[in-house]
Amino acid sequence: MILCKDLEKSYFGKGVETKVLKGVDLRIDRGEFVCIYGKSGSGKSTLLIILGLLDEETGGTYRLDGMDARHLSKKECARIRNRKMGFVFQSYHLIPELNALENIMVPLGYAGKKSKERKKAARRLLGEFGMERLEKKYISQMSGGEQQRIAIARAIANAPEILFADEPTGNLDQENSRVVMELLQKLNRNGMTVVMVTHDTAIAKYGTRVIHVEDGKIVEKGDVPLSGRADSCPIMYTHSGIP
Amino acid sequence: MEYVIRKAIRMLYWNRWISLLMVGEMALGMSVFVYSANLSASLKAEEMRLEGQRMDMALEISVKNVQEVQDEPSLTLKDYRKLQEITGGKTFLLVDIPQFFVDAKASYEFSLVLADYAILDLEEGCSYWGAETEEALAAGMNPVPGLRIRRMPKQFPGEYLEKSYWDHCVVAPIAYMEEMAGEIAPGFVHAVWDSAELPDAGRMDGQIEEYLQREHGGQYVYRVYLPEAELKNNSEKVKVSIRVLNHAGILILAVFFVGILSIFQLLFERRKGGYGVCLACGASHKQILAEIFTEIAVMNLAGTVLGVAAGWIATYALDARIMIGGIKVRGSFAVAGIAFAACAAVTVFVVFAVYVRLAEGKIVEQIQ
Repeated sequence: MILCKDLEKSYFGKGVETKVLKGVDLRIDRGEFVCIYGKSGSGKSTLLIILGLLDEETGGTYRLDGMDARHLSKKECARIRNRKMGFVFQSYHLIPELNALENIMVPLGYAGKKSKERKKAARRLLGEFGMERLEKKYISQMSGGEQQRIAIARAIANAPEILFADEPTGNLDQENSRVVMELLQKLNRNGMTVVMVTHDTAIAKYGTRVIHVEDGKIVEKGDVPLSGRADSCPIMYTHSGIP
Repeated sequence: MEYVIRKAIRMLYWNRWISLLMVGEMALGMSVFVYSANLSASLKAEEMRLEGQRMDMALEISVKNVQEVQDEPSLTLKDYRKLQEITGGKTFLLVDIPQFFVDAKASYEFSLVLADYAILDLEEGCSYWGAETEEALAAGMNPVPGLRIRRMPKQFPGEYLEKSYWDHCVVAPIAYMEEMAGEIAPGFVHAVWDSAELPDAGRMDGQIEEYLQREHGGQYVYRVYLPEAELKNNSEKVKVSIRVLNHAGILILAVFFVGILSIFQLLFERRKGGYGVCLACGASHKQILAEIFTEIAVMNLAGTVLGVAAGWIATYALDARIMIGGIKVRGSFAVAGIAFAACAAVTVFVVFAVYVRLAEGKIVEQIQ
């Protein structure tokens, strides 16, 4: 599904090149729950952004379902993001001018779904997530956990194949983090590929595979124990997902 | 597209107070602009009408003392004959007496026009009825019953006045001036000349004034003048007033333009994240452009429609004492066209200015 070879990303500012990704080789198959783990500034979020077609690589190749990302036009990228991908961000990024239901309807609207269809699908998601009472609420009237669950509902509104989550629990307390992660896990069990970035080992345990990024490179892959590494996590990880 | 429009309107509603303020400012600027431009267009049209008129010299009759009762007519048949004598038969006189009849079924309104049949080449002993007087004729509302009834000739007499004028008239011979002397108010008398046809127009106007003054000077004042030249002389002050109004309108529009540009730049800064999220959710740049365009266009269009409507109403209803009396102030479709063209230009410019900032940034930067 996702295949990166020698992926590089540099930022240029004031004539200075800053290499953020320094040759990443990565393969993610359908149905996986991959946690990209690393410290702040390691390049993990940049990797997620490139995989999500929100930015372009400066070197190497990125193939999504066999398509070379470099050959995709802006319009094609937008279509892929709309139909195949969903995004969950650390700061939720709900649109403040819209209520919960309308926020969930955003990707459906851009997909050209009709008004009735949009409302039906968004209400179904609210129901599935047990958040019917939030339908008319704006972000100022919701807790962080509620906002993030609405953001997840928005991300999966178009039933995407891949869900990209960038530190989805970064702004949440322990209880809300657990709820959100269980939700992502449930989506993965239902067949959705989940690619999540985190710096928290306790969160990384929810994945079926952990990729450790350090200084723009993948230093460990697969079912590696994080014990004794960055955060001295005592948990072993396997492809089955749950420790 | 339906979603894009709905979302843009939702955004406008969210920012409704700013939107209403902008619509109000646009409407105010547009109304002042449209009003002043309509005044200007009406003045120009009047100038052009007078320029194109063959009859460029006219008689003005005014009452000396409005408090006193005028017991004699301001112009008689004898006077008309004398004017023809002075001008060598070049006087064109119309006496336009408004008629109003009521019966059990309806009311009838038209003009009884007394004219010199010899000049208009009409048959003596007949009255001529315009197209719009059919109902009055059918109801027997005939102010000149002794005459044979004829339809107004189709080509008649466009040389002197527009056809639409004659459609509302019943024409009778000038001789009826004697019979109807009591009904002829000074304002009903229209005597005009083509100065080019007069052998010595400069001298004749004095002669005419002198004669009429001598005959009826106790109650009336007579003045022979050139309407076109007089309008040009008197309209300078009017033009300055119109220009001031026009500049005020344009200034308000300029303030609106800077305002809308700044507000949308600020709004964009605040909503950059939202646009970024929409792009991440799969919106194309075209859809975002359409969203921004709809928001700005709806606001501008609402302001323009309200402004043009208010300016149009003001044109017909507001007597700001700017125009010289007698000039018919009318709304000009060209002015409305300019207003809508300005609206389109402002919309395109503001959309472009806002969108360029969106298009040049990376999605991820907008989200952050």
